[in-house]
Amino acid sequence: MRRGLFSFLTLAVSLFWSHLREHRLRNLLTLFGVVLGVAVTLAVRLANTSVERSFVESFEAAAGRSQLEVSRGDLGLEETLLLKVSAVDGVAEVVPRIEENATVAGSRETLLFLGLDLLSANPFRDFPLTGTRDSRDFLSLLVDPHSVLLPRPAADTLGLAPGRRFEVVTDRGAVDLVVRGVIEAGKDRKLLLPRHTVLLDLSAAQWLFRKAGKIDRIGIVLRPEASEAAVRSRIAALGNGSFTVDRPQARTRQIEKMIASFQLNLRILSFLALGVGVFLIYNALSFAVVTRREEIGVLRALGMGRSQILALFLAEGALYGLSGSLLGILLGWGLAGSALKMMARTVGALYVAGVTPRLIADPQGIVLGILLGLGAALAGTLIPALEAARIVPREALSRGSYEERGESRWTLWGAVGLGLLVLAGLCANQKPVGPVPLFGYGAAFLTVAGFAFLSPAAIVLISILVRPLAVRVCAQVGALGVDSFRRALRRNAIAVAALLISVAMLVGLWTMVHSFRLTVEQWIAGTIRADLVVYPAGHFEGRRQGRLDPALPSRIERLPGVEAVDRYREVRISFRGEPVVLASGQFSRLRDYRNLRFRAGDGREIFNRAGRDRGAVVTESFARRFGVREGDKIPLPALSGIRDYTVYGVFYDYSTDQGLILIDRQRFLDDFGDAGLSTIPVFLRPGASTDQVRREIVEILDRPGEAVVQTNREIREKVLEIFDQTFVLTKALELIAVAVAVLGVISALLASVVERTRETGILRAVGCAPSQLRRIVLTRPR
Amino acid sequence: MEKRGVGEQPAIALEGVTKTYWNGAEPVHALRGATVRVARGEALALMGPSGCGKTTLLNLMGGLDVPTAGQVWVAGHSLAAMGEKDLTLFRRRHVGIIFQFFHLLPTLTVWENVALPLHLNGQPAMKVEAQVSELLDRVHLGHRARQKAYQLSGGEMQRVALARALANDPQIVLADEPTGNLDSQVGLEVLALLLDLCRQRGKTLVLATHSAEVGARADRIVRLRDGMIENPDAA
Repeated sequence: MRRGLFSFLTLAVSLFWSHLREHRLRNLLTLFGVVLGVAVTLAVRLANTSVERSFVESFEAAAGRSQLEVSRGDLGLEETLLLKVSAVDGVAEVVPRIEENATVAGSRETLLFLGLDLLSANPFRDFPLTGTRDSRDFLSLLVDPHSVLLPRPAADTLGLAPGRRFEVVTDRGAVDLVVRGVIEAGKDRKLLLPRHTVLLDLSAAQWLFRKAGKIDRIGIVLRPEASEAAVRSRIAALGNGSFTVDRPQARTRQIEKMIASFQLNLRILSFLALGVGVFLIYNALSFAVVTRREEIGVLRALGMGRSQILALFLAEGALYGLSGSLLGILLGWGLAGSALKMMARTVGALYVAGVTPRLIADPQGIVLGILLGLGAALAGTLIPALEAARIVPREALSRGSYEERGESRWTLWGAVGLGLLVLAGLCANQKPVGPVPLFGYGAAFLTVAGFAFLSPAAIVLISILVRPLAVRVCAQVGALGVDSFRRALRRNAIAVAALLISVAMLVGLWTMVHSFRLTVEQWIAGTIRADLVVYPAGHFEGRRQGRLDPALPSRIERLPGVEAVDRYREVRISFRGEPVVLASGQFSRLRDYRNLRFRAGDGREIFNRAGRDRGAVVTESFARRFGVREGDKIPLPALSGIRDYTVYGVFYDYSTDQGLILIDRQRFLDDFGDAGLSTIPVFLRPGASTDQVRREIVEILDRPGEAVVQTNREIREKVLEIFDQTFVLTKALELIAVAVAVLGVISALLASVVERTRETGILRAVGCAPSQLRRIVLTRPR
Repeated sequence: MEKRGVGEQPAIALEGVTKTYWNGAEPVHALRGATVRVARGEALALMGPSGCGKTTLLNLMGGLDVPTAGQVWVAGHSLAAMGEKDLTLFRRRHVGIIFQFFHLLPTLTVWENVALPLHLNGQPAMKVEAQVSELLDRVHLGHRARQKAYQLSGGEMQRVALARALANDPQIVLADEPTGNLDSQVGLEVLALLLDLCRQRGKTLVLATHSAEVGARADRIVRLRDGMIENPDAA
């Protein structure tokens, strides 16, 4: 048995190898299809995994050995809470911290600033410190807000040694920092800090990021005998619902949920490239069956069974899959770097700022890549292999041309196609399952499958319609072209289907992106009405949670060209365990100067009513995600505990897919106690010079460079730039899928040419010119 | 697989065999009640014009086709009732086939082509090596073993096909116009080699041919016309 298998494998490999060299170009095209499919799938997976891993690393490093964490999202906690929490029974240690991002001046490199109490609650105090010469150096870390420590990976990445200075952009503008020491890995302990982390004292972080009296999170180390659940409920009771107490891992899960849809879309598109690769394999192996009919006939005549022929072709497919996968893994690793950059930019712009992931090796992904490549290759091989196994040796060895059977089934396939399209229509009308439009994906898949099944009918009908025209234009030459297209119906139908699917997806995707862009443009026109907008420094370089000087709006209001200013704040909070955005603005300004489009009701009236009561307006995405309607009450984590806000209106918004709650500025200050500002929209008097006011705003800033002023046009351009950037990867993946499908069509045409060698010889013998032959090939209405 | 004693029986026996193909709704009668017997170790020539049924008869003897009616006994096996799987095994073990157009696998080497049936039969590498070398020497192609099949001349290709047909040491060798694609001199050389090898090894040989010169070298001739045996006494 084993000897027989070895003999068979020897034969399979020698046949595969000899054929591989025989049709080099075609085989390379096929191999390239598998390589590309596996590479794209792996690149997207690696990029996804690396992004996720970077969050886990950052959060784990920040959390240290804390078992619980107290947090209020971006709203921050009052420093006074520290004493109360540390007094709770079962708490051994509290580790307050500030987590912020700042960009290195003049670059897009984002650093994670970790503000810790370096004297008493420093989880890194046991690690060796190099470069700190004496106690004066250490003291300066505590008193000088410009002093920082760098973990070894960060020092190496940034090329900084103790004593060196570097400039970063924070809420205070461009700030010069000095490295006071480098934290090294311990003898037996790894320094599990991401390479872009900067450590500084809590007070320095509070100053740099305008968080006086505030902390972002409190890590809690429990006493060994304490019950986690009991401590948790005791701490939660202190806040009355105003903050959350969770395990540190919960934060990673929240982020993962946040970016899940984005990642899923990319994953599905990457599978499309692999799916089209299946068609390519199908084409190649179908071609092999056609050209190797005689060989199959000989093998069958010599005593090779049907199952061995099947196994021979499956083995060939598997060899394609295996070699394609291995090369695909190499290419995938190369592509993953670019995919990761694009993904990190989008995730940073749309979800969580400060993502600087590095590519992480993913052995599971590599195994999966090989399995996917093998699976795809075997799936593409199965039908041609079955076809090969069905070949009758007597027929294969007779010297006639090969005619494909099965044309009569086109009506059946057409009926199946129509049935699938009807099912797709039914699925399209179903609601999403949670945030995931499962039925939507189903509808898309069924539509694609439906049209694929319709392609044989399309070929037959088009052939019937085109034939008279082809005869009129090119006489018999034209008719031959049309007929030969129809003869290899199954193989051509699959090539047509592959091209149809990828082109349809491309057109669909581009139409969707284009109409979405138009919608966003309309939304921008309605929403971004301010003549100038003031942003914290670094806002467009990845610092989305920066804070402006709260005193700045009053100073701007006094400028002669200014008619009004708004005070806008955006923070991320947890709502029913999910991350959402809580925003505040002056409702009177929103009412008078912005033109938000509400699902129902008049915007002015909605703002008037919501401003009077404890009211809120929410985005359509929020309403859909949480099943909230106009008139419902939503509980929000105010400083003094949970406060119910009434939803007065639901408006269309494309700034976040997480959902956004908008409340009045005064109510926000009263209930949430956060005076920080994310942006200051400035409305000018008629006739005022935009450039002039812009210059004046820059002049009245506390510190030069602490804020940037953008004109309405510049902001619109920035928003659209972010929008376009979001779809770069999507478009790239789509183009790859189309490229693979085009390879499939080339491959099918080549198969057709080889298949008709005998016919071509006859045509040439009766005087058909090469140009006429070319016309025959090209008139195949593919 | 139905079997009968081979000692007293002919190597090949076809009794009242009919073969009808269908061209759409129109029947094409390739054989009409043919009866042929071939003794063990005999060399039989099937002769007749194109389309008379020679190849169909060879296909039935080689288990490449099954009759519409009648019985086919080859090497003690009844082929008419055999399924696809049994016919495959039968071909592998009992029959060696030589075709007019050689039907070598062009991308494989001479050595690999001859080794093919041995691999299919799961023979150990040492036996494959010994058998292939011996056969290539016998057909005077030992020096061409590593060449690709497409690099050979027509006569050389047919000699490789001959070696391949004998590789599994079959009882029956079937040759369909073995010299039909060769010039007369080379054709006669190949034929001589074929007859020599079959006689030395006690093989039963059935060859289909148009050529009277080739037919004359066989032990006996059976003539066909329009699917029927013209000289039933000789069959």
